[in-house]
Amino acid sequence: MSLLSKFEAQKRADQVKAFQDELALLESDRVLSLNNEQAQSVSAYHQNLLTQYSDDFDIDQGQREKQLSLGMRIASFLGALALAASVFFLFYQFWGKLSTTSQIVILITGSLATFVATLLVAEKEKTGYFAKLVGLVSFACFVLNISMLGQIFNITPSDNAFIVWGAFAFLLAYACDIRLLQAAGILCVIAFVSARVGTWGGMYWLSFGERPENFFPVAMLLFLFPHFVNHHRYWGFAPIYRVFGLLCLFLPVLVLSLFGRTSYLPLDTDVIEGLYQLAGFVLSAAAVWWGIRKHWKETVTTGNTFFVIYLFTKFFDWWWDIMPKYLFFFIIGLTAVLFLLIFKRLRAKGFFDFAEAKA
Amino acid sequence: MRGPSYLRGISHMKAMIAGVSLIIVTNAIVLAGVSYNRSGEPESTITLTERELSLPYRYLGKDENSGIHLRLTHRSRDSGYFSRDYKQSEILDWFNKEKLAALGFDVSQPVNGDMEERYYQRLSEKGVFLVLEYNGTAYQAVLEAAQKHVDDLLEEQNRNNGTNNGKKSKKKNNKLNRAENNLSREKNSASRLFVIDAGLDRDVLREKYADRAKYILMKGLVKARIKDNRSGGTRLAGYIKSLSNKTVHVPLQHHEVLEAVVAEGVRRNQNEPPRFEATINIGQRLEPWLVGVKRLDVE
Repeated sequence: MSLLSKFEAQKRADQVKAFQDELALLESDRVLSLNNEQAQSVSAYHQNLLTQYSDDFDIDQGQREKQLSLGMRIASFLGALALAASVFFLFYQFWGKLSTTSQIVILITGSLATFVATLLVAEKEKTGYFAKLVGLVSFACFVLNISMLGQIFNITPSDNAFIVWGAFAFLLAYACDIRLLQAAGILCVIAFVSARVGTWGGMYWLSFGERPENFFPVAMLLFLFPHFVNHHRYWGFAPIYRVFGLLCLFLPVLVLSLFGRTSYLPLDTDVIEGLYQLAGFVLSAAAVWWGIRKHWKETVTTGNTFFVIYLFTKFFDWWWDIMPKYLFFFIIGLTAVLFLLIFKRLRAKGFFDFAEAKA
Repeated sequence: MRGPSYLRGISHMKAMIAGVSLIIVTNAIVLAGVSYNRSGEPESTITLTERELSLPYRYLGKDENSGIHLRLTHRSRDSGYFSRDYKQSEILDWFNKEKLAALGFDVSQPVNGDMEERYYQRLSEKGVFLVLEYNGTAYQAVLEAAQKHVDDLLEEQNRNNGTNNGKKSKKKNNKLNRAENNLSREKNSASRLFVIDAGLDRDVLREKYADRAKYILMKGLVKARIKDNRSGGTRLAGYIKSLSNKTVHVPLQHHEVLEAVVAEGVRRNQNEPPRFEATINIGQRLEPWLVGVKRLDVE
């Protein structure tokens, strides 16, 4: 069987472990017993498979390894952020004592050296934790490089910086399989596209956040991107695109449902807020439905979360001032119970079966 | 991450070439832009003092940033301090409805009513060219108005001398003190750099304001808003939202003078004269750079 990703290798290894556990139970209950030859053959096959996956993908072979891996992921994430911050502050601490030429040389050399180091670390170290650390430092160096040149030479700020920062982050993310840098690249794309949309709407680019509708085009772009570009080789990349796409849709809708005056629409503020409240419910419910159909857990979770946020925002809007607090929270509790009953009925009727079958 | 070759979407060698090229090309483009900005004769060269180029407050405390930059302090009707005790010179009211229209704002709506106010609030800001005048007619007008206010109060005090009771007299004295402080501030420490015009065509503005040592052009953002008149009623006016390049980086060779100023700490009161002057060039892209800093003798 040809595997494409670490995710699939890990899934297969988990299946092997489940099979071994179940076989042990069946044997202890005397339901099934393999003869020595069969047992050795199966065991050798599985051992080979796991060794190969372990070499190729650095998979976790047991529960303890999985827990350790989670710890390492968290440590490398926090370490990467801390090191990136450290690079910024280190430069700020000493740059005033350097000539302009030295500043430029250090900035460019820093970007180049850390970029090459990231690729080398990724090549040598198969777990990817250290590549993530060095990769984020490299991204920080490049961001610092361009932004400091802007400060040193008093350059007028431009949204074009986000294109090169985004390109750099994506290059490292795809070359070294670093989802943290993919997220950094996505944030750059969000900033650039939204700023450009704002500019087309007549705004200065730095003010793009003043009109939440500027984020809608990039929301669509991000959500659809993994649909058109196959990400089988990059486990976990597609869900991140979808989550950021949904955040770029749902957060602006939430803001517009509360502050309609920030909209482009030439309508009365109350009408705008009403429209976006309705849109919030419809879109979040649609995300849940679509996520279930396509077996996208992250889409279902994001849709669910925002549906609840929209609902409770509305409850707060309607009843917080006019109801005693005990009644307000009682109604929220009852609503949660109502949802539980609805989901229970849907599950009993097999509404989610098609999802579970493939999940 | 190491793995079977089919797992690798982008080989590390290709990534290396692409990444190194990206870094080098981006830096080359940025530096080429800087070179273009500083090429040929500067668009303008102007010498300003601490009144117009202030050190940010953070330098006066413990800070982990060893770099120094100066902040351009410009004044216009809506930015920079102006006393509210008297009417300011009308020369500052150049950014009116007609100017807004000339800059491309749709000012066809009337200015009374909530809907109209909302309409103007929602109008986007525009990037324009701003003309900043140094120590020119705008500053003289502000100075004269401050002087006149003091003179009027003194005259009033002399006229009413002996007729006021104690409480009223104290109030008048406070007002006079405030006016004298304001005049002293305008004479000694307030910025003399005023935004006096805005336009969409840089060449037209330069032709109109030809003195490159007195008038500098910069990019900036302007916006429309409805203002209350002192006499009641409302009117439409523009305001300067920001300058595109508000700070000027200080290279290492000019640190010495400014570090000495930083070491002295904050100016003890607002009426102290400036301690340094700095010459800045404005380049082809209207981006400034510092070319000299000189310590001023404070008597």
